[in-house]
Amino acid sequence: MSRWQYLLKRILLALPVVLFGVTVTFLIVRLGPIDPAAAILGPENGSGAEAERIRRQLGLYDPLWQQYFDYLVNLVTLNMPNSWVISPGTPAFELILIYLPRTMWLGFWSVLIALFVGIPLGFYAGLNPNTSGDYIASFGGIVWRAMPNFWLAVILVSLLAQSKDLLGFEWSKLLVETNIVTPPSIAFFNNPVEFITNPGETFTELLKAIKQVAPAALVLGSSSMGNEMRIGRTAVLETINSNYVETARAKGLSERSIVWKHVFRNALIPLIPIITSEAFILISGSVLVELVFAINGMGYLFLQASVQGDLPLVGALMYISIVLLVSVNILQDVLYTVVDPRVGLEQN
Amino acid sequence: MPDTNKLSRRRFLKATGGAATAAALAGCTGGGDGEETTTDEGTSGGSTDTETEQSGGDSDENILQYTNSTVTTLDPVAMTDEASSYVVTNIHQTLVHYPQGEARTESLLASDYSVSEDGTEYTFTLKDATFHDGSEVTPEDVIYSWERLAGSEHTRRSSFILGTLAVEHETKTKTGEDGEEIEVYKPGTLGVEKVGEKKVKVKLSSPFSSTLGMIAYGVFSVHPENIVGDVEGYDGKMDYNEFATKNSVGCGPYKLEKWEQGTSVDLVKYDDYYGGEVKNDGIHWQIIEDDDAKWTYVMEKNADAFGIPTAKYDPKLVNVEETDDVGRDRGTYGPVRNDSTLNYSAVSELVTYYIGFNMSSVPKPVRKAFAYAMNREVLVKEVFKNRGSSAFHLTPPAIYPGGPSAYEEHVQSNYPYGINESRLDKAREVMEEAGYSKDNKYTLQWTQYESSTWESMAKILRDQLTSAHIDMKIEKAPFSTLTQRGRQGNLEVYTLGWGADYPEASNFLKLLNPSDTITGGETAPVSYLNWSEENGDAAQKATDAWQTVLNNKAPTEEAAKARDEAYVALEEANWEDIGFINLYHPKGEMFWYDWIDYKPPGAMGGASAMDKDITLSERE
Repeated sequence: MSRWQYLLKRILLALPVVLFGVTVTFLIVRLGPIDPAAAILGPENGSGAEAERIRRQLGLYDPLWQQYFDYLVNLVTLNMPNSWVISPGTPAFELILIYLPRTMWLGFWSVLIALFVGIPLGFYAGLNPNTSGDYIASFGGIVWRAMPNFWLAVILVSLLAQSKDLLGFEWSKLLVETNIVTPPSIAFFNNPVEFITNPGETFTELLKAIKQVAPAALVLGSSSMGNEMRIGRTAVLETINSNYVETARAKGLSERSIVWKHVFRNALIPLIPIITSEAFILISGSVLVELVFAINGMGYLFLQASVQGDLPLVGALMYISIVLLVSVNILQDVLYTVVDPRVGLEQN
Repeated sequence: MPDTNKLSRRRFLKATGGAATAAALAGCTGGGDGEETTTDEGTSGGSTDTETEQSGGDSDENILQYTNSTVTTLDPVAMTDEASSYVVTNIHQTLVHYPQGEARTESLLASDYSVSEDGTEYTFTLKDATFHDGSEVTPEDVIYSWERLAGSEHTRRSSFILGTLAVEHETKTKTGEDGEEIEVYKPGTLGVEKVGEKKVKVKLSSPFSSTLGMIAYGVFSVHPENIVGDVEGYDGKMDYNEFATKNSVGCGPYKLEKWEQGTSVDLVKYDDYYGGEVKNDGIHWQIIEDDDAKWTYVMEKNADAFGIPTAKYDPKLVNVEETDDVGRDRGTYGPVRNDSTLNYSAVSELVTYYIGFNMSSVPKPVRKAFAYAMNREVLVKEVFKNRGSSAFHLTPPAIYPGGPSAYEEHVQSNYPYGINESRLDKAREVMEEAGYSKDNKYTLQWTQYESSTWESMAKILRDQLTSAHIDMKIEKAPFSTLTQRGRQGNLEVYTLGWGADYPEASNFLKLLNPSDTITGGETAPVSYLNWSEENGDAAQKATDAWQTVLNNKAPTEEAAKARDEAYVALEEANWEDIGFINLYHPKGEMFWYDWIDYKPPGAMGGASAMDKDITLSERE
């Protein structure tokens, strides 16, 4: 089977998964105990005739199969109606587009931190096992992994807010002046030409945006950073002690080419699912970290939409998440075959 | 902005006021004309323009900085939350308003009004105002805006104009998708008409004493005719979503500059505002939901005036220096984390939090035991950090018949279950009389918001009630789930709150009309008590009292007297049968730095106060 055939087959098989996911979402929201009309009107007016009228207006009394059918059609055509609760003047998919960029910006940096700190550290520890450097890195990795996000985030915000007294410098005035909390402004992406036409100002904006998202990204990336470090270390240790590495060494290959050509590549295999699953935080974000740093992104949106029964929004969010998760899974299987040629696509 | 407590993101939209009676209205008529004159002089001069140019370079310098929670819409008729109200109040104008959040109504867009003898016809004269798009405000705009409130597919407060205010209209029968026949508003039949170049007449189907109090509510704001095409006979100048999010055209002191959803809202001053000079250049709200993040933000001096989350609030730092003429406590708060001492203002809001019982499932002795065990003073102090006052009536003191002193007197002389003391012996006695004992406990389910503050209160109560042979299980739920279950009659004990829509006791006491508390039926209940003669001796008394209220809605002294008596009767009936145990009336507290000449709001909160008169000096 060619790679393309395989891909097509996987995509076809993914369709029922997506359908199942959005159906379950619909059932949970519509058959669950949440009343969107009450969420709209607030606790004081969530009862009475007005709520009744809004329920009718939202179509909550239509036959369920009809609501379900409309919902599916809207999802497939990417034409979800306006959000019910969170922003009744904005179509659901549009609302996602508004909240998505800051979450992606945060996710991008947190994945980057995990990748470029966690993996090298793990490989370093694996290549120098049982040295003090290994111990420090391993121990650090475990402690880092063990610190819960919500705790680390609160502590970090508090530390940065009082950095003048505690650290001796003022974080908000470091390099460029920024707020400690609130989302970074990444408006410069709308107009990338500015990077060339007006580099000075635009690069300052970029620096500001990076600096502002850095603490949140560090917190969000911290757990996966620890994971990757530990798995990286084990993977390197496993490969470095395998027979083919010994053979390579016996052949007189330089240590450098052994590490880079043989060890590194093979040690990456167990890391692939870890990395790809991380890509998910790019989209879904993290409710806690976003809340503490006042970056109201996708995580926040997801939470609010779910607890308030905002069906168009939850549906759209779930749809996008499921599609993404499924495609990342497919991508991951394809990546395996690229990194490790022994993994074939044929069924035996 | 004022964080009364952590109940939920959607707190009460407090469009309320004190006694908005004929006396206050007379003031509105007189003051209106004078105001108008100053207005014209103020705006026509070039002074505002020059000022703008001068401060043009430093765009942030003269812009008010606040925090807010998630804003949902800028369409007045779709607005249901407090966060949106802060913004909408500054963009849009109602005919009358609550000046600076004080407990009275005053003219705003209307310069003058008159009432017909029978109290059913109100005629308003409009001021010479222009919308942000340059067009003039006309009676047609009022008719259109209110038609949207009554009949647009986007309205979420149609009951205010069709039900509470009861503006004349026709209904038509519509068959719902589920086959049920329902009566709905017939478009174009609203009793609002143009009676002169600047005059608009509103016809009510029956007299209503709080008419002005009701139309001061933000959803009655006036926007340009045909701005969107969501009512019959209009095709709309712009797409609905554009109006609701990007281009909310009103005639208020500020224009919408930018609303970045989930991040911030920016308003810029409108130079042609009819009501005089706007003393700052704009307003910025940063949207922050989390208490820690908000606290960090304000401690970094990024906001000029703000509320303090209860978790960060320390009652020991409050230093009240005086109580001003509208009943606000004024003073200082601090020093806070950044060593500043903040200015402080607190006012008792027209809100009541209560514990409600499903009377058909919780027997009266149990309810009585709760009432005996409840020590409001301790709870408010320990749990709510003194950010409120004990509530014995459902009606807040400011609008209680006879005012705060009558409220207090009635409690002192009539409250049957002990004032600010926990009478556990009595509670036990009642329960033992009803046959409960250590080995035969009564088990019940307590359902509350997802709030740690309320949870700690529930725990105190649970521990106390153990000795009265009551085994209470605590459960938390988002209020959208809580009300759903209430509607189905699946709650036993629950906590909720009520904020006034208009400043009259009837707005609160309608929750205690027994026939409106029956759950699980065809009609939609307003509270979930299931109060009937089977479970309460005073149910008939309450029903009669409510009927008296309905029969005496006219704005006459005689009717007012009858209503007042009925209100007290309703409160007493509730005491007797214990449907609600009223808990506390929250305090609205605001804190601000020295560089802002902040005008703290009155009893109905900052969400219905404009910010046009606030000035800034140089920030630290």
